[in-house]
Amino acid sequence: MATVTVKFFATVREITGMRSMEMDAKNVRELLDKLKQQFGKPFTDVVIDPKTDELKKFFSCMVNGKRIELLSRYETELADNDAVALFPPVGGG
Amino acid sequence: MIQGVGGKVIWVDLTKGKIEKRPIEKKLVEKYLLGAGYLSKVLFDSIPTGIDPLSPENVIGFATGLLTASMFPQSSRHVVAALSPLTDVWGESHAAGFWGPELKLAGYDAIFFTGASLDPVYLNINDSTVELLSADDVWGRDVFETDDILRERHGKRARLIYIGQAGENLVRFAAVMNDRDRASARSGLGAVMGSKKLKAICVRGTGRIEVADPKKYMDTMDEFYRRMLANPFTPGRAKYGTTNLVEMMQHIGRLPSYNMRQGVFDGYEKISGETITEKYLVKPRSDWCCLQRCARYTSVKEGPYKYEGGSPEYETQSALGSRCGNDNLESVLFGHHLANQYGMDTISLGGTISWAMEAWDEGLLTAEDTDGIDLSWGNHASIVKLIKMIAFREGFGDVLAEGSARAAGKIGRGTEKFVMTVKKQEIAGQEPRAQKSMGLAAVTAARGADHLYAFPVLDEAGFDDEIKERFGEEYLPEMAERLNPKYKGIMVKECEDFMVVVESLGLCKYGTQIPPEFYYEDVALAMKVHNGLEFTRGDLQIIGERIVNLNRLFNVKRGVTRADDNLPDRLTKEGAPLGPSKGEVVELDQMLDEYYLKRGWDNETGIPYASTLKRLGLVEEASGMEIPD
Ligand code: SF4
Repeated sequence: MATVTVKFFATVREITGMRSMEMDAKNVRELLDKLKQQFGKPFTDVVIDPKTDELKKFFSCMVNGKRIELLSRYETELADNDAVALFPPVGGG
Repeated sequence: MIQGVGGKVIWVDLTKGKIEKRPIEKKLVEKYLLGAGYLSKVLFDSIPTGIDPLSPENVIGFATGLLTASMFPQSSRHVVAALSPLTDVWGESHAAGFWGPELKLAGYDAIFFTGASLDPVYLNINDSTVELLSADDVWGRDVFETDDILRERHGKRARLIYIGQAGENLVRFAAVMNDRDRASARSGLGAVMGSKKLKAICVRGTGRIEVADPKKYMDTMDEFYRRMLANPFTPGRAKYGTTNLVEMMQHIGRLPSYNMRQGVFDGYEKISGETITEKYLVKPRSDWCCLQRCARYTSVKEGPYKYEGGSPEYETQSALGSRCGNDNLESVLFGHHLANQYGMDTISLGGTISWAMEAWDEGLLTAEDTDGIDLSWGNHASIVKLIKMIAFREGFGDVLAEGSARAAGKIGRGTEKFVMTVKKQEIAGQEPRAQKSMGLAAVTAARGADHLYAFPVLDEAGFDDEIKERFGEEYLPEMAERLNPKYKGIMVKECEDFMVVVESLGLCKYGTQIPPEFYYEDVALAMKVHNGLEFTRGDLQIIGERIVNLNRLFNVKRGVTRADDNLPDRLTKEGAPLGPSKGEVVELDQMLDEYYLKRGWDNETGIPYASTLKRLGLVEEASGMEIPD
């Protein structure tokens, strides 16, 4: 179990009502489960794909600036003081 | 006959005051489409080499795309092109709004201006009436005043393109503005209009656009609308535009700060899109037929930066904000408004001011050089003051109005090493050490440093599915990794080919490239039902390649080689000093080798091989040039 800072952006922030929070979780999957519990249906409806129970298309999760797809996806282990970012679809220039 | 277009092209000889209407040539359209491709060919043939871009010999063109003014989502765009006074090579810039659709409704697809007028003029188009009128009463006026006066005269429904004082004063990064606060900002094309004493193009069009297959057209557009609305990007884009990129870019270390010394900025939250939306947003807005709706109005209610008008986008937040070490958001909003009012590219503006700030920080520029203006990082009052001085070429503003590369050339003293440009154009808001594809895209773009010519955003947050679909599974995972240089040459090449097609159709990059909703098959279908033109994906890819190669030949003719496809040493030799991309450099040579190979260009010189030009039907264009076998 690690204590990490989770940062929320744009439309995800509108749901959580905060920029960031500290959370305890051992990996990304557990972290998302805890977020689902804490923020309930509004969070799940916007962020989670009901078919896969993972993030919806174009939503991204990064640990210390690295996409989880390049780590161990939802099984990515978390360490104390990691920064986890949860982005809605955003990009461009 | 091509349907869904205006059908005519206007040629204006400003020296003689002569106007000619010509039919659009179908053969040319089949080879180059309209928009960017069409301008590429016509201007390749008509702009002589060895001329001063601000002389009457330069030719400036304006064009709509094949799908401009259609119901395709985000089909509002037009293109402007000429020899650039900033880069001395191919200059091209695009904007959305309503001017392009209005031109098409008036029955025209493109306008070219040759020569130069002795006195200020503007072109007035009212359906079949096309006339040159005196611009004496608007010359010297800003963009908003010009808009007010000419719409009062020609009717509120008229749509306009114009320059502000920056274009008149030949600022090398002056923008061509339209619809008050939309800008074809890059390449300094506003100065080309200024050099020709051409203040504006006013258009009123009341015609109709006949489509090739009305029933299939409606069905296709209906489906495209549904797809666009259902795309997960759409709600966030409509709410924040591109302004919420600041926080994401900070998070991946890609937010240019302190003149690109680094890709993270302590004050990022203060200039973020979330803060703009919370405190300054008046309302979102959109261009013609747009479902992405990235534009918006903002206001500052009181204080020195009071204004109401267009909102900055991500590029301006980074250019006038983090890049200048400036976390005073109201000054960024107001600075953006001033740049629109005087008509200037905010990217080059911020890039030039931040060059001066770094030189000041290093003690290489002093108050003696700057008319006593303090250029410490984040001095927002100085930034705002300089914007006006640049537009009017007053004092130190006259030096900066030349752009950072020329300004450093004039000042010397080692300030050259802080110039963050490619081919003399300032690099946009993508710190490339944090996204390698953007570093490559900046050097290969025909118009000098530019993120939009290729707009390789698929690796930004890593769109694996789209990469698989557009390129193939064999390129994963490397192509989706923003810090990995592998396969970026292939990605940038393919993205360039697609993006020039998109700019030739008059579509926005939002909806085609990000979100990556519509691709070749979709636009081919739209062209079939709208224009009655049959193209396969393969045909369009060849056309894209042809346009990119022709732009390259335009530049090669003017001396461009591989040596010019280069980034400042800071980005290729010095590791990013901090942030999530700490220690990274741009592995430019590796990516360029891959890019040239994929393009069929000589690896040493960067010039297209004869076999490449033959395959693309560009042999005649290259005649007289030294082309490698
Ligand atoms: S997405 Fe933005 S730039 Fe593109 S057409 Fe819509 S409002 Fe204009």
